[in-house]
Amino acid sequence: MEYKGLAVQMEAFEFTEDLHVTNANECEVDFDLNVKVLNGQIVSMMDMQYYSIHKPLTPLASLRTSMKLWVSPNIPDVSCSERVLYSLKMQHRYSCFMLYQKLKPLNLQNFYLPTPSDEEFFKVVKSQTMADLIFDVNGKYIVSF
Amino acid sequence: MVIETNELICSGIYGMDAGGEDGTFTTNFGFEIIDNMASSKIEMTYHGADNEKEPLAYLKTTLKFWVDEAHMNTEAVERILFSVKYQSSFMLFMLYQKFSGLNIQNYRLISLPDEAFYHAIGDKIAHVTLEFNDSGNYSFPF
Repeated sequence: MEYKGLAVQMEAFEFTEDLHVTNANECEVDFDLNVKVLNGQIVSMMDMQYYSIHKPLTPLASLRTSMKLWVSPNIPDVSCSERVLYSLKMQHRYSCFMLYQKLKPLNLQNFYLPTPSDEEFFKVVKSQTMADLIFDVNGKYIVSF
Repeated sequence: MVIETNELICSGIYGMDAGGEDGTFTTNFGFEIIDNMASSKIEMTYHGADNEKEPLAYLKTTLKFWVDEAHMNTEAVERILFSVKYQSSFMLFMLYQKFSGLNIQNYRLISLPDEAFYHAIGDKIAHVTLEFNDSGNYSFPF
């Protein structure tokens, strides 16, 4: 497999789920993931916004993280796909943690930050030349830590 | 100045398909803070039962990050806990990939519960009380 010049993969999905807080104000979290693969380098950009549905133009918290990682030339092996998936998941967990700490001073309680399944993450980053991974019926990868 | 140094050692014997014998997985965790810099050192070793002197896999990582010793509140301790948890998680992933390359199967890599890390971090930090569930894990909402 070779990456030549331009991006060979660029997809994005949105993940939105209703959340509830103790003061009965309904809140939502928007999650956008955009991944580019270019010359063996993967760039993953995550945007997360947490806002009240009554004030959709004024997020309570907003966060963007960008991660770059190199993939080996022999990318079509399972190990490489696993490393990419693991990296994306950890980027997401770290983003959730930062968002969680941003929200804490607002005294929001009983909120939660939804996590897309492993399979959803992999669908975004998967290129035609990347090795397939096997997921269970819940979209979870067979190995998790 | 070192304000805290603790070590935690966790060992266990887990089934492993390397010659049909059991293996031993050991995690060693050390943590200290010097001049607002936290240093977390984790060692993981996996021995086959037939060779206790030469581990099948050995991994050691050191994570350093800044902390504010003067404001060691709940959020600060959460950041430390989150950091060492994912340092450990990353190492387990690396061990898993080492074993995959060796065609070793049916092994078990056990992560320490959050509470074990919390207690090992030390008394001066643990004055901030965090609550853990029955499994010893902290209730991060994600």
